[in-house]
This record gives sequence, C-alpha cells and structure tokens, in this order.
Amino acid sequence: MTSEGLGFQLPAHDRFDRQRAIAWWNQDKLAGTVAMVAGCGALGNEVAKNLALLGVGTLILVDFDRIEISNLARSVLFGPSDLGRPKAEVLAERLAEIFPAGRMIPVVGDLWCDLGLGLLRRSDLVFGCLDSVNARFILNRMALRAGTPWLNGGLGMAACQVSFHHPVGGACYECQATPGMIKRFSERYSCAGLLRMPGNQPVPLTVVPAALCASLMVQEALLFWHERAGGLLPGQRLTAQLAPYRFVVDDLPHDPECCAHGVIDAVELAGDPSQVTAADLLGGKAGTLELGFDLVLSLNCRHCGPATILRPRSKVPLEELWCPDCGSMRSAKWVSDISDKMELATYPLQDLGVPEHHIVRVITVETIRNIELAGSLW
Amino acid sequence: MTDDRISLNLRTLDKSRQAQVTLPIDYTVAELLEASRQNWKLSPDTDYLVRSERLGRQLASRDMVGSCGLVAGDVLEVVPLLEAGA
Repeated sequence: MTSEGLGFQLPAHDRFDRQRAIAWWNQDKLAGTVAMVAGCGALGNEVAKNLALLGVGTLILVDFDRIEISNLARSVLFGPSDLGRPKAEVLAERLAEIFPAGRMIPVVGDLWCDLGLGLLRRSDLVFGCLDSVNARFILNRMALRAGTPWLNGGLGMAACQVSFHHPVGGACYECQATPGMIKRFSERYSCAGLLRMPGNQPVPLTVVPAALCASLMVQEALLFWHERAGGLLPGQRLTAQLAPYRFVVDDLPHDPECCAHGVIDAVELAGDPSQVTAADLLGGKAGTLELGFDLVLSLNCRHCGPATILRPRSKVPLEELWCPDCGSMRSAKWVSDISDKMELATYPLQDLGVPEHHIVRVITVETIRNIELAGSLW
Repeated sequence: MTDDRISLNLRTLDKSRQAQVTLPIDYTVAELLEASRQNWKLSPDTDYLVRSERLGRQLASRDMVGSCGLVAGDVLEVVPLLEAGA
C-alpha cells in the first residue's frame, strides 16, 4: 500500500521547506527573531552563517576589529579582498547574500562603550563569540541589565564549551569566576582605571572546534526559541571534547552575592544622542543623569595643566596617562553622573561618548527613569 | 574519610593526568586547583575549573572539599575554561 490518497502533503517548496518539515518548527517565529552576534571572528562567522541559513530575520553583528590574514583560515565568510576591512561590516554583506530577506545590522565598535544597551534589549538572544574573559564579563553584565539571555561559546584546540545564562535565573558567567578570571579581568585596567592594551598572544586554533561550537550554540538557540526541552538550562555549561570524544554538562555555581545581576526596569524612549542633552532629559529639574560608564573629563599634568579628554574610560589607553609635552604622569579626572549643575548637562550626549540606542538613568527627587536614546541602527 | 580528611580521585578532563589525594576537609577548591597546576604543570595561560563527576556540577572556588556535597572516593575533574573565539 502506498501513501497516495491518504492526505499527506509536503510543505510549500521554498528555501526553508526541509526545515519546515520538522514537526515543531516555526519559520515565522525565526523570521521575527532578533539575534545579536557579539564577536565576528571564527566563531561569530560560523554562528552568523548558521542563523542566516536558518532564516533568522534580524542579525546584529558587533565587533571593533578588522580582518587580518590569520582570520582567513578560520572565518568562512572572509576572503583575501576583505583584509583590513571591519569584520562586522564584511560579515553583514556576506550574510545578506546568503539570506537577502534578512536584516543585517553591523556595529563596528567596542562592546562596552559603542554598543547601546537598547540594541541588547531588543535582541531575543545574544551569542557571545568573544575571545577574552574581559569581554565576556562585560557582555554578561550588559545582557543581564538588558534582560536578554545569552549563550557563551569558547574554543580550545580540540574542545569547545557552551554555557547558557538567563537574567531570570541560574548562574551567570561571573558567578563562576575563579580568582584567575578576576585577576585577568583586572589586569586589563591600570590602577588609574585606564585601558591597558594587552599583548596579542596567538591561541593555537583551527576552524574545527569553531564549527562544532557554533552548531551547538545555534542548536541551543533553536530549542530555546521553540520552547523545546532537552537543551541547556540557565546556568549550565556543555563541554565537548574531541580527543578523546566526550560531552559533559555541568551546573555552574550560583553566587547569590554576584554583583552582575539586576535587570533595568521599564524603559522610555527619547531622542537622538547627537541632539539630546542631560538638561533636556532632566526637564529643568534638579537631578542627575547616570551615564552607565565612566567619562574621563581631563588628564591633569602638574606642570602643563589639564587637557580635556571627554571620552569613556575604556577608550582612553594607559599610554595617554603620560603628558605628551613634558612626559610626566598625569592624573585622570572622571565622572559617571552628570548633574543639572554641571556645564556638561548642556552638551549633546553624543559629545560625552554616549552611543546611539544607549539607555541612561535619569534621577530627580520625584522619579527614577530609564531612557533609551534613539539612533540610526534600528 | 576520617573526621578531618577526605580521599578523592582527581584527574584532568582528557584523563591524561590522575591522582588519588587525601585532603583536609577545609581545603578549598581554589587551593586544590593551585596544587593541580603546580603538580601537573598545567598551562599558566589557561584558567581551570573543578567539576564533580557524580554531582554533575562545577565546584565554586571558595567551596571547601568537606562541605560541598562530596563523599570519599568521588571523582573530581580539572576542566580548562576555554576562552578563544576569534
């Protein structure tokens, strides 16, 4: 007996018909999904490629770095003609070729000071494809504040790890921090709080664990988006070892005193940071605007006087601490809040280093408001 | 396990190194990791974690081996924290 005449129907014949044939699949849901890929190197390439092939509707691609020759052996979507170009931009171009109906948003900049928290808040899931503990600590805090779950991927020579972190429960990435991780995080900043540029020690690596790790991360995402059981729970980590083959899932230790937790409350929308000032957002009332980062106002040389900086602390390298005129060590003066009494309250927030789509907190005697600024990316 | 000591089986995740250890119950996981690093000459550029095979969980650095759910004869594995991605 054949199946003819029994009413079996194949799904519509289009690029997604094979995956639509999976009983629990929801292609429309994927089309409406926003995913952020933080880090566009080997792992980011593989993750973003999978997401585009699956038909995820919007991909936000974040990386400050440019393509180097050593990237070409591990990054499937980069070629020799891309050398020197921003990774996020090139990746967005290639993904648009793979999935023309998708919306690709490149953010060429640093996680901490160029990525507006509002873009994280609009993401359904963040894929951490980063290459340092430092960057993972930062992404973890940002994702938790924005209320967005994230998957962390990490690569070794013949192994990979995927962990899942959710703002509503389970251990976050920082909960499991060892003294070694904290030491590594603090080494990135000088005692004056300025950025120390680390030596670029190459890690032995091939595309093999990157491809495996990306597959596992995207599989986790598919289970999460379709509300399917069987994947990692929040606060769990999968370690996949290739020699000898072994898969291990662990609960991570939850630290009730971990300071990374805490979701931003209701958010209001406001204007563009190139026009809006702290005074505008305070509406003529006494109060303060919390930037969400430290703003270096000046570097003060005892011989040559102060030099205006007006840049986020994480954008001021340690080398700038020495006076360019006399070579003396300068002291940094910074703020993290702008009060209505300061002249800075009349400056457009963009001039104070506030990125598009950032969320600032405005505090007056009567209210505390979280305000997301507008921008051109969304 | 005596009142003040506990015997455990320690190995690396890839099973290339293993040892039987008897530790004071107030010995911390951080101390155990440091001892493993030194004895097995683990890479100084990598952070390591300790997992309990039976409990299926990572032990916190501050945990003491006598008061984090371990029993005598448990297998602990030293796992590298993988950081690369670019």
